[in-house]
Amino acid sequence: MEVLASSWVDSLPRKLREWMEERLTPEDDYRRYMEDGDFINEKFIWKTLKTCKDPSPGEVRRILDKAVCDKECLEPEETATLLNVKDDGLWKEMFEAAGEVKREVYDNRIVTFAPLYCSNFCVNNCLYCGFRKDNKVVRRRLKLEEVKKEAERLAAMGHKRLITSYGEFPGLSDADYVADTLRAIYSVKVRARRGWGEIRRVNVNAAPMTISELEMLKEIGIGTFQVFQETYHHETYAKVHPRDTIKGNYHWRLYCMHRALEAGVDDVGIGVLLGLYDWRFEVMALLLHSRELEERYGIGPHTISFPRLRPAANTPFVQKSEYKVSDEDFKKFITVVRLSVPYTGMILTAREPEHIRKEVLPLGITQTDFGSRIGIGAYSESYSKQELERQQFELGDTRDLDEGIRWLAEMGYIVSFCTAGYRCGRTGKRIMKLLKTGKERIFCKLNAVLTYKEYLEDFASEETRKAGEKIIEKEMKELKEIVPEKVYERFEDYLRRIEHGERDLYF
Amino acid sequence: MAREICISNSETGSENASEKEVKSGLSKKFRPVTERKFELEKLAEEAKKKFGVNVWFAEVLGKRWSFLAGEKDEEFFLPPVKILLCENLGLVVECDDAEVAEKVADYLLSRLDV
Repeated sequence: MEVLASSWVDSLPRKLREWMEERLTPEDDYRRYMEDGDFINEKFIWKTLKTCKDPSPGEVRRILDKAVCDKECLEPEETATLLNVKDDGLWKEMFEAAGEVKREVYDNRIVTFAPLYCSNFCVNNCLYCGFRKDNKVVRRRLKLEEVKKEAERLAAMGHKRLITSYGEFPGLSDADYVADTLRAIYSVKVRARRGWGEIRRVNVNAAPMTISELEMLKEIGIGTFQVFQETYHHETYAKVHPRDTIKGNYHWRLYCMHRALEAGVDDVGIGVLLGLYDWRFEVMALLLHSRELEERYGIGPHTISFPRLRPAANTPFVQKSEYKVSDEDFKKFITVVRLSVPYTGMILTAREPEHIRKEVLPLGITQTDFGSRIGIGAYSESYSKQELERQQFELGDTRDLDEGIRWLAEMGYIVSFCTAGYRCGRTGKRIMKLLKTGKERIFCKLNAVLTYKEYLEDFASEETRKAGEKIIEKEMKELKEIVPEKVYERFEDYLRRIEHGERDLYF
Repeated sequence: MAREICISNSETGSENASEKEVKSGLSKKFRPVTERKFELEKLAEEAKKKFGVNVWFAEVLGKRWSFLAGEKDEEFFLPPVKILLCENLGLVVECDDAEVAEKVADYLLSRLDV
């Protein structure tokens, strides 16, 4: 374990400022992408929201039809129209349409993953974050052996996908360290009941990086590179991210997905932290970001995330925020994002409690986590389910993976551990096309069943196994109707082979 | 011929191609990757005409096979036959017959300068 005294922040040297100045080269990093300012035109957003008020039911239904049929990003005016709906009956239609879009693009599967916090050293001082530099918490960075131990524990639970998370600190928690942790995680293999457990895809949530750093992560086989803007509202961004920190540079962060796509990392994840600013503004901004990436690179966001502010140690800002998003508005936020960017994956995390997760899953969620622990070393060391002083924020749902899978099965969802697309070239422009044409849902369905079967064979409790087999039976009936006979025969063959101990078979 | 059939969906086992040690004959790299996408696009079209199968090329980066080129209009939902053409270039053939996939790989390798 690497532990540093909490006083480390007090002696932050001038070197840090020099590092920041050296790291940022505005011309290369963001100015070259900008034309008359950045693509988050606040005047335009507010004007559009204002001019699309009081929409007619006919206009709203036309937009819903478009989202369901075309699976292309909506126009900003269309999204603004949806955001201005007041009628409860129309909102109900919108909730249903959002669910339909999700099923058309991704079927009824929910991909699952676990977060792995590797380091909480951070030079930033974000007012809402438990790991901000002014907080006197124990700082740790996992050694690579410790990272492997954590990954082994997660693989032994049945996880196949992780999202790794890091603070930002030169020389300690930087791109090289991220690269090393990816290598460590990918090297893990553990025995399971019948087959083996391994982590097949590692997504990364880290600070913005340079193109050369991103190229290095690409070479190692990064999954999705995820950076949230937190808030797209310039003034609020400046308020919550102090100017003398690297995160205080709005444009360095805003354009990091441009750099990622130029580096060839073609799965990128964007997001906002709900509660920092007006949620309707953030929906419009997420749409503009998605459209900007698609227009420039032909590739939109692979995922959109929208964590809500949660209590965290010594963060009074969280209690004071005037923009906290109510449960009802949270549902509306998810619905309009799903309709506005139909092809994107949408991530709901265990920040949210069980009853909220149950309510919003049908609105278009594609990924969620179970069994999550967000303290450094929390999977392999002595740790209760929640230790706020060791976490970035408080979790709302601490159920384990097996329980989560059973819970979803009882609601008719199949959990998918699929990582096939990224291992056979269904990435970037290719996956975009498959998503927009509704073809990806067939791959999702086939691979969800195969990976679910692996989980039931290797890790599930008896109770979950029973619930899961019923889901598989239902899925097989549906598949028989929609895939060619030859494909179905191969699918049945794969299922048999999984029962006999083979693993990692996919379409 | 420098290629290595993978593996993950073949009848022989279930290891991932990226985990296999690259044979000495395959140690060359396909460079520069992004500048040669057009060439790969043309080759994918040729393969479709000659063998009647869809193929696409991917940059191989550890476990990740990142799409490079090879558009197609129809989707057959068959399991992908993955063939490692060289250290960093993968070929994915949508075809249920491993022999045909190998023929496609042989042909493409003869046309590719890796």
